[in-house]
Amino acid sequence: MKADTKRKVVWTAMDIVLMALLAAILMLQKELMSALPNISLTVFLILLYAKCLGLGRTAVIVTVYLLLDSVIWGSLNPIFTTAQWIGWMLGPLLYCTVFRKTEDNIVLACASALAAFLYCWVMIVPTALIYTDQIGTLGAYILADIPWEIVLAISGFIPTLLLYELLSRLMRKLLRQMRQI
Amino acid sequence: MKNKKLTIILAVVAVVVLGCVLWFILGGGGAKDDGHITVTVQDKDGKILAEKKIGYKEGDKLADLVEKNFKNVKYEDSGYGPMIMEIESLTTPADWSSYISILYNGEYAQVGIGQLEFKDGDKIDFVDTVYIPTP
Repeated sequence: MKADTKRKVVWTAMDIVLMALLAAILMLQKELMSALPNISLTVFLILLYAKCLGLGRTAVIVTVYLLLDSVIWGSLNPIFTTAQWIGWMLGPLLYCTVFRKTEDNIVLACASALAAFLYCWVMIVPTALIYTDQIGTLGAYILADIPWEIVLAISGFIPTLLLYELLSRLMRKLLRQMRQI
Repeated sequence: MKNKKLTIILAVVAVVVLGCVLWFILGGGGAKDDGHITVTVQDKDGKILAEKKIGYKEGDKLADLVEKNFKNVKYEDSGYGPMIMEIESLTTPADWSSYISILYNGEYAQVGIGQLEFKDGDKIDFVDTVYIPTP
């Protein structure tokens, strides 16, 4: 029997262009909303990408977004950026495993809030212990961080609650059309 | 239908909670009583460039008291409240190689100048601090 020598294409050029565009949207909304305190659509968009594109493609988008964001804001360093990547990827990991079969906007809104809290808790380590050298006041730092964690969680919760059904349907339709080209 | 109602209720509750938390974060701070605080401006080596004992009344904000009592005070709105960029001879360079940190009774303040609460007898220092990037 002749072995199949044809290579399997993992990502097409269309996939790569799509991931670049979605990373750009993620970056752009972050920049546009940077004047608002800890409020952005990052949590919601990462959930949308993970549910529509899967874990692998979302990981690429998050990596590109993080590198761009870190360069722009001057926070690119191995410890801080790695922790950010782990923090942001906990959400997609949850959505693509525990919440893989869930399409209920209320459940997913709660999941996005949980992902936001997980991100904040991961970031306590590099921010408090390394970046701002506040090892002596860690307890105070954790307490002071709670309101900001709630703001990030709600800024993921509300758009997921109101927009997830509509945007996920639209995105899946666009993806189907794109694959037919 | 039931799900839609619940969605709207949850969204409204979330907006209210968000408003309350933002009010708590950005609207708090200031003096809780009448009294005096000592405010200093220090260079990188801890040398005191200016020192004042400032009287205040309940509800006064630190940012306003500093602006009234020191020269060349400049704030920048960071979206997280005011951030002090200049005071007396201290300035924050464009490359952020140094910045003005706020010490509250000798320890780094956990909140910004807009949210810092203070009471009679407290000491607040504005210190020129070199930014040391982590490796």
